Formats: sequence, structure tokens, C-alpha cells
Amino acid sequence: MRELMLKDLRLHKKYIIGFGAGCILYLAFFSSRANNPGVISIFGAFLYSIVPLTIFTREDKFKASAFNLSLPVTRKEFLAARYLSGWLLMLALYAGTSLLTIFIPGTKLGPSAVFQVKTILAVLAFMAILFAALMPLVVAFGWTGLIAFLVVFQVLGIVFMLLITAFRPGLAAITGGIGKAISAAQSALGPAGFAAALIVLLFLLNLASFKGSAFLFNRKEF
Amino acid sequence: MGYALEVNGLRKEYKGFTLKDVSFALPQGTIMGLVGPNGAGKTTIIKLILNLIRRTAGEIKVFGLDVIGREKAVKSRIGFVHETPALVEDAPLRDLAAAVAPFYASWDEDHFRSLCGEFGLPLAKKFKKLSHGMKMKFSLALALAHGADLLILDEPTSGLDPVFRRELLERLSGLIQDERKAVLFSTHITSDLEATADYITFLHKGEVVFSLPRDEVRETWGIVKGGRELLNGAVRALFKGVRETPFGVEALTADVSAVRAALPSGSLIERATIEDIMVFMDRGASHA
Repeated sequence: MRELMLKDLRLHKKYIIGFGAGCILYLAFFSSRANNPGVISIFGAFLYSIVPLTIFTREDKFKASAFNLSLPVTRKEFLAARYLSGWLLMLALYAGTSLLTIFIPGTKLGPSAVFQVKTILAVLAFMAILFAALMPLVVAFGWTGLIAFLVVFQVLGIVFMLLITAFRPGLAAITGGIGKAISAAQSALGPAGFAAALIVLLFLLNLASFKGSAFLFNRKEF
Repeated sequence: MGYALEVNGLRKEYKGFTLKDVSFALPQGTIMGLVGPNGAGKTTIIKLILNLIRRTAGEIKVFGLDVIGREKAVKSRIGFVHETPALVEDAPLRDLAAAVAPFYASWDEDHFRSLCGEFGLPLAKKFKKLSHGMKMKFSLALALAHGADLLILDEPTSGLDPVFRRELLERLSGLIQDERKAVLFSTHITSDLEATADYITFLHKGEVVFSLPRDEVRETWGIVKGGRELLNGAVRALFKGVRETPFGVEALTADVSAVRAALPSGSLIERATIEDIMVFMDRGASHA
């Protein structure tokens, strides 16, 4: 596992540094100047989850998978390393963006605004959901899967905007309902209990994603 | 003597192509050439050995270990060179080697550097900047640097200049002096087989036509030349393929002694080369 993660780091270091630094700078700059940094954080979560996936799809582009799988590793280990390194990279990007947001010249946000538990949990939840949903797609369809997702995501965004316009009261009721359910869970479990429950839930979601990806990866032919 | 590779009843079904119950064994200390025309199933067999594709049926063992059940142990003893080496294109050779080395306990960095020097591989150069031949050499250096016990090479000589091609074949012969090691290489360049292979496994349309020691192929396969009356006698059943020429008939047989016994003495029977076998087998179905 360690060898696989180091291999990815070694072979994609320029890409990780280049793309990762660009992502951190871009997000930190806009967060530091935003009136509503929460929105930027959620957008950031989307980008953090995409970055590791683009690294994985690079090997697809180079058709390097056959060689990788000729190394003494099982497919399960190969995939587990991808999940683990993906998470480490996402967390590193989030940490980097948060720190830079505080220290960037002219920032409106201090540590207390950036490191709110509510914001951290929201970012983790979005990252976990997106990463868990996208990994099986990338495993099964590679670069095409990622592009297809991005296109569908754009279309869904437009559909969502139209729905908001057309069914504002209904949607408000749904989002209000979700909000109330979260508040009720927070009250019942307490802040620490709620955070722990959410993290466990996100972990289970990623575990299910891993199982699904492993099923697809074992059937894939190179 | 043990076997480096045992393939039994291997089957793989694709739409439009089936690898049909392939069986052969590669003894340690030998080189086997996997030969056949394009689309015969050579690369499919290699991919099945490496678990890159899923088999429909059958069994593959490397040094007695099942390639699926003991995947890691098996792969740690295999060195693989793909027909079109594909690695992360924008990484320099130095980084590629450093990424691969930790996977093998037996990796020998000095040997790797010496091979790179010998092959003229510039370690600072990016993989994408190499020619096909140089990429092949780099893949070979990676495979040799961890002292693989079973070297699997898919069309290794295609795209190589004649000098290095000969060097490679000599190196393969040198490698099996250590009688624990073995080499399996696929090719359609039949002269490579004549020069190097101890065993030849001939594939045609997904089936093994024969898997024999090279000398046995030389002794049993032949080309019979004669008039058109050859096609009328009982000997016709011994022909695997027939070619009609302006001067008569040429036929391929897998049983020279039976043909010799069935024909009048003085009939012309020549030794068949692998290329003859390939050409006749490929055309045999339509001309026989």
C-alpha cells in the first residue's frame, strides 16, 4: 500500500504541486474576500474531490494501468491505496486553503471564521459524498466517467436552478425539512456526538463506495 | 526439473474470438516462443497470466502457485515487457525506476544502472521523449533489475534495430543459464524463435496447434512437394495445409514419418520452418 501511494506521489508530483497550488491559491483568494465564505468552502469541497480523481485518470490517459497491475500488488490493494491517497490529498488541499485564507494579505476572515466546526463538517460531508460517488465512475470509465459526471453535474445545476424558480415553496419545504432534521439530530446527540455520527456515516459511505469500486475494478480488463 | 509456468485448459471468450482450452508447460531453464499470426491469441494468454483480464475457465500456475490465489507472490517473480510499453509519459526514467523499485525486495539498483548504461538510456529524460525501441529497452531494464525468475515478453523484438534485437536474444539465452529461470516471449518474427527458443507453442485462431521442443518441431513437421496426385491418395489426410503452385502441390504435414511411409521412396519432403507452418496454417483452411 505504502509503495503504491509513494509511486503515485513520485510520478505525479509536478501535477499535484501545480494543480494543487493553483487550486489552493484560487480558493484562498476568493474565500478571503467573500462575504459568504461558506459558499466558497462548498465549492472548494467540489474542487478538492476532483483533484485526486484527475490524477487517477492521468494513468488512464497514458494507458499505464496494465504495467501498474503487472507489479506485485492485488487489485484490492491498488484501489485501497487510491482511496487513501485521494483522502490525504483532499485533506491537504483543504488544510492548505484554510491556512492561506487566514494569512493572505487583505483577508476578511480570521481563524475563528475559517475553522468553524459547522463549516469543517459541511466541507467534509461534501467531499466525502462527491468522492464516494465519483470513484466508482472513474474506476469503471476512467477519464470519460469524470467528464460525463461534470457534464451531467452542469445539466443538473441548470435543472436545479429552474426547479428553484418554478417550485420555490416546495423546495423551501424540502430544504427546511433537511435543516430541521439536522438540527434535531444535533440536539439529540450534542455537538460532539453529531460530529462523530456524521464522520462515521461518511466513513461508511466511502467504505460502500470502495466495495462498489472493487467490484467494478475486479471485472475490468486491461 | 520443475515448471516455471503451467497452463491447463485455459479459455477466454470474447465476442468474435475464443481462446480455446489452451494447455502448455514451460520448464525452468528454458525459453518458450509463443508464435502465431496476428489475432491468434498470444497477447490474450500473456494478459491472462498477469491477471490483466479474467479467464472464462482453466488454470494457470507460476512456479506451482496459482496466479489468482497467490497473485502477489507470483507477480514478484515475474518481469513483464509489454509490446507497447506504456508508463506515465511525463515522468523521467529516474522517477519511474524509483517508483517501481520498492515493489521488489530483490531490486538491484546497481544492476539497473548498469543496464541503463549498456542500453544507452538517459535517466533524466522523460518517458514520452523515448523512441519505441528505447521504451522497450527501458521496460526490459526494469524487468531485469529485479532478477525476475520468469520473464514474459510480448513481441519484444518488434521495433528494435537488428543489433539490439540480436543482443536481446543473446541476453535471454544467457539468462536461462541459471536453470531456475525461464522466458516466455510472443512473436511473429519466426527467425527469433529459430535462434533462441527451446520450446515453441504455436497458436492459430485461439487454439494451440502444437507445443513442442524446437527440435521435435523440426523432426515432425515437413513440406511435401509433388504432383496433384498427392491430393487424391490416403496421404491427403496427413496434410494440415495445401498450396497449389504452377508446378504442382506443396503440402504441410505434422507427421513426416507417416507421410514418408505412405509415399513412394524418393518423394520430396523438406523440413518445415516456423514461417512455413505459419503461412500454411493461415492459408490452409481456404486452400486445403
